[in-house]
Amino acid sequence: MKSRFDTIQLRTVAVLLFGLGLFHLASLWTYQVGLRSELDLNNESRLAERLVSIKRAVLALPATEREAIAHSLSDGAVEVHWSSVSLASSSRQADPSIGALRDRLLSLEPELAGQQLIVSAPPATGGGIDPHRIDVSIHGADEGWLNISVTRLAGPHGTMHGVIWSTTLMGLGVVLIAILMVRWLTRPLRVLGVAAKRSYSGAEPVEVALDGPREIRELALAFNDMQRRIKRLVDDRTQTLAAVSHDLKTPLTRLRLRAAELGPHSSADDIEADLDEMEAMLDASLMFLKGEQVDEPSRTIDLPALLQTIRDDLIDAGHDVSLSAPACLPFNGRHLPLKRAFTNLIWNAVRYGSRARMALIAEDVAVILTIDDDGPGIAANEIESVFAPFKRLDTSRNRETGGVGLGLTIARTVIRGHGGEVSLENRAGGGLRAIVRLPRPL
Amino acid sequence: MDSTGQTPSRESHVLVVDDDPQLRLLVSRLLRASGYRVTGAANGDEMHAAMASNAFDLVVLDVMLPGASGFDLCRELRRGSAVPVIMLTARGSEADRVEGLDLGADDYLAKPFSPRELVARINAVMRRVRADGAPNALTPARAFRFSGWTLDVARRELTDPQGSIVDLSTGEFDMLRAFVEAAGKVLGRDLLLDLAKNRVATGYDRVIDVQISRLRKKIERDEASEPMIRTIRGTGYMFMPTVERIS
Repeated sequence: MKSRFDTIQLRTVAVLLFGLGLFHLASLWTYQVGLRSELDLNNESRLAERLVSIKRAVLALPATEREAIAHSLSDGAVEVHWSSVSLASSSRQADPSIGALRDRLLSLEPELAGQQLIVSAPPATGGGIDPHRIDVSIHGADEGWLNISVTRLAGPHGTMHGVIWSTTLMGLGVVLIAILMVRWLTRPLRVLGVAAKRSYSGAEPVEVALDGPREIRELALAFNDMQRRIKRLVDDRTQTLAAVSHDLKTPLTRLRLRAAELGPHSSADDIEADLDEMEAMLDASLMFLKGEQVDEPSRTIDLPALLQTIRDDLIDAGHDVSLSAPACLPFNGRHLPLKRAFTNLIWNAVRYGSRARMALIAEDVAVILTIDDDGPGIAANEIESVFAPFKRLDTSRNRETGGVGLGLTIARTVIRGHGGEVSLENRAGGGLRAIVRLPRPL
Repeated sequence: MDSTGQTPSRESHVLVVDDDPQLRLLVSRLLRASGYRVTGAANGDEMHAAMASNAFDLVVLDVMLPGASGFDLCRELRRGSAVPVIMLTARGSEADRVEGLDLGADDYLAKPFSPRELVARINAVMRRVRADGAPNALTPARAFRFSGWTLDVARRELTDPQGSIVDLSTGEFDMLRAFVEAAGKVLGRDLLLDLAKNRVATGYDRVIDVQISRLRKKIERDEASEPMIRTIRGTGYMFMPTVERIS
């Protein structure tokens, strides 16, 4: 059921077809039965009338002229003869429907009752009885029989094929119209689904238009309301966390100033390093909380210069970083978020892989940055999970390596925000490679 | 060559406006240690009172103040005075920075700043003021243009002739700013060293060479064309292109 009828559209069509088909068959049957009995009645009364008029016309003449008039009264459907023996035989009245017909004819025309009336089906050529004709013999007043052979009026059997065809056509029509109507009917639902998907991927709520049937309007209303509530909840939390992070900045500044006052003291540098780490964590958390919220416009940025600055800062901090890049490569993007994303990836390489070798290549449709390190790499089954927020491989590792596990998350968010992708892979010769691919509009 | 302004003169008087008394005290001590005279103020009223009775060479202004915000105070200040202003804020967003600089602040520092950075920025502003001979005009230069390049001082941003942003480190930016402000004049190694020494702890001499070479790599991409920064043997460096000041 689930695989074959998993859309409202199909289900509605199925229900319609089943219901309509059932209704149609029932009404068709009733109609057929009524129509047939009506027709039979009509035919029988006409037959009775005709029998009476033939009898009167024939018996009114002298016996010698009777055969001639009988002959002239015959036509394709009725054959009349005057003879001394009866064509119909009462011994062949085995068919109960023939007996019933005789009774009905007698009740319709009581005049026939006076004469001896025999109704029977004629023998067929191959044996048995011929179902298509009826023989009626009426005993004349002066020792003779009026034999009338009538084509038996069939019920509307032949029209059954037409009925099946028209029913099928009607069924197809119903399916077609039902598909169109249900499409129209379920369109608001599909719109709602699309909106739900978009609201999931973006930070801003996507208002769904309130149209369609009432149930769907109510659903859309509830959905919009839910979105607003989620946004409010997220905003409240974000603001609270941002406020906390923000308030921490003043004491952090004081600590920095106090550390500076210690002068050339052995622990001054350690305190500075701790403060750097705290600040980095705070920044990462704030950045993560901001998510995809974009408050910086897209500009053209020279990527090699950006990577050079990151490389130089890391070299000054005593790390082993190299860069191979074209002299100049403009790229349209957001400056500071991109710098943050690249810094996070490169910092990861020097932190866990002891050195970072960057290569920037411009292709026709994309810019590709690879960052290789000489670290142990990452187990294949964990390579995707490192992008999850707050994920740190090797939980036993103490925090001396720094970070809160948001670096890769932020990098991926930023790069995806530029329509690109970042992935990690273990290099054949050992070490990890981060690959950033940023699409370049032509 | 202007080499008299390499160290802050004893007379330079800085007003620190911050509502956090501890922070005010710490900043004051730091600046005194760097050779400045310092007065503190907790809010706008105290700032106005202090300015009524004293002449200041520079104001360090926190953005988040009770009552009138640092932005409001900066706007008020700019109406009647050209005193250099350095804004401090806990929000490091680009929008805040541009707003502060649009109001006429000379520089902008996000908390938590490093003490070295604060001193370096104050020194840089003081050096510029002294180089001009008098405090900046009411509207200080917002950008400099040279050979198709633009150095936006307000945004601390360098754009190349094609309009691409060329990322600079803080040290590179300060160095390039010093160069464009003194275009056509020889910048002594001592002055450049003074710019850098508050940021990098060791290897002063080499730091200048390294930083010059890094800066050159970014602005002199085409090896065939005329170099922008020329080495003047024995004395220092000179910035060659013609520089246009944009206010």
